[in-house]
Amino acid sequence: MEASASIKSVVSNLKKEFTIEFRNRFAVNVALSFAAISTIAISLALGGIPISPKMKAVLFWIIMFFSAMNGLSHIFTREEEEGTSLFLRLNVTPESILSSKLIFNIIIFLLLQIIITPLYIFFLQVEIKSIIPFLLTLFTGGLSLASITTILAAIVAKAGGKGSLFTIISFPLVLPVLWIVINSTFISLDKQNYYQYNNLLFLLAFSATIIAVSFLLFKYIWLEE
Amino acid sequence: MKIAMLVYILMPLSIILAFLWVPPAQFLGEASRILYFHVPVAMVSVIAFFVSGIYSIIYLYDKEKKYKLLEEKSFNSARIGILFTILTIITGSIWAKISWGTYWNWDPRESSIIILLLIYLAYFSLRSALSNNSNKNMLTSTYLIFAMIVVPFFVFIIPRVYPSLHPDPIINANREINLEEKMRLTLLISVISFTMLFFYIFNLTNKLSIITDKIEEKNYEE
Amino acid sequence: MKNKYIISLLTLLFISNINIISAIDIIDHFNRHTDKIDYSLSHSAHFYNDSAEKHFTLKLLKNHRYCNIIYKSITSIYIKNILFADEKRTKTQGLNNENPEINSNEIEYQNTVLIKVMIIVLIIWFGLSLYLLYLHRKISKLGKAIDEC
Repeated sequence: MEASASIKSVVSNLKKEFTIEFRNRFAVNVALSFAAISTIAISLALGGIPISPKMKAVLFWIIMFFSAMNGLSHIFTREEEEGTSLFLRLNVTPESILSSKLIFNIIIFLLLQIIITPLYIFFLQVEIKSIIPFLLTLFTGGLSLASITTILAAIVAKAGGKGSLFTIISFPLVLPVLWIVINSTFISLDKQNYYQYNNLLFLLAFSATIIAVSFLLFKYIWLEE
Repeated sequence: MKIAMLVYILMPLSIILAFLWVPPAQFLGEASRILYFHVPVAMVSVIAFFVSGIYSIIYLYDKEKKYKLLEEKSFNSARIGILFTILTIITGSIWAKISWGTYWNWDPRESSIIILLLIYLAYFSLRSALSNNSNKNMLTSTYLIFAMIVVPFFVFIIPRVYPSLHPDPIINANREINLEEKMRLTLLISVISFTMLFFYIFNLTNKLSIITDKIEEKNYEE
Repeated sequence: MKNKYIISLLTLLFISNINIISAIDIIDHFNRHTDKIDYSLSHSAHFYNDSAEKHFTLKLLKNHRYCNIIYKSITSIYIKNILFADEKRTKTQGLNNENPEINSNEIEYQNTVLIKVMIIVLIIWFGLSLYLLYLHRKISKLGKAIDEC
């Protein structure tokens, strides 16, 4: 009985998030525009000069990181700004809130990647030598980034969520993810038929740990005493 | 204050040992003497970080508020930690300049110290941004616990990414140096004296927090 | 030759840190008295008694004298060692004794490196001692403020 009630509440929360978000599409628009503008700016600035695969991997994940910084904190700051957080705190358990917002952030970030990656490949003439590792890297990297930014967005929303506080807080914790994912993307761009999955295992382990600890600690962030 | 006495005896002892007693290393020459100050300072900055994290965990678990001022103690430890991190970076880069010619090389060890510095800076920014919030202590403690979980992940990256970066000259050189008895002893005494110094400063800052808290209570009562 | 004097001067500065330590020790004794007094409102002003204060100051002066003796003896040992430092250094590094010019150049370079290292550690050590001094003084000032409330 309890399990089905909580899954129901997660699903209904999720539906609500999607409805609100696509009503005015603020976060998705900001993140998408940022990523698109950066890609076009880089391509324009390079003016056709070829760059090494390592550089392409680095630039791609820098664009992804900063679009995440722009777009993924909106989900909690919106609650604080519109005053709906009190209502949520009273009616829904913290675990279901976290689950719904986490799933939402993951889906939004994957959506972002799906739209930006072809754009990036088109504008910077990227040649992918091993496609499946590349896609897997995108997926696991996106998963780790989204999971860590969700819980940090919850912390920053309580602090007013203004300015670049979110970027300052997330950067040290996201740096290991960035390091591994850039390395893995570079390998998939550079070598053919490269099927070594150590990096991906690391990223999955990282996401799992972060999500587990988020569930343990979320109620301390969310509930005020 | 027994720790104070230990510090006042061990610190000059370690300075004298490092500069007089120990012979200079084979290939690094006199510059190797900075080793006996650089390594302990780096160890203290990591110890300070974990002490902060442990106090944060105890704070979140302590629902009956049996222990007082836990969050202030974790903040004190973080303050000492960032001081020692900056000292590590300064001594390390000066040693690199003397021995290898460049100040900064982005070796794995150096990168992990930069990450530690960034985590400390983020912690202090978060704390100051939350200064008006009533839930400040909980939020900063959770952030520190997350940071404490991410740091071991980063430490395990180092052996993984190691083959693709150029080998850290300091780490390799360490493995050659630390074979002599005298050097090992001096390093041990240095590490112990700096750790004692950390706990000494930590005690003092905690005392200061307790006194400041009592003064505020009295002002509030009046 | 000039470097030897610079090195001995620097070592004297190092050892003079012990004087800062003795200053910290004085303030630390003051703290220890305020430690014994509980930071509560109802205490009696034991410490501001005249005879207790005299006894306390005498103890501190004795400590200071011991610190000075230690300081002078260590300085003399230090200087003696520095004067013989050159021969020691060539033996331990196992330098080739066939080319005396290269030897003296090498020694000069190593001396400058040693001075650089000593200056760095000196600055760190001074900085830390001054920070300790600042913390002690703040504690004693605030401790007095509580006692007077």
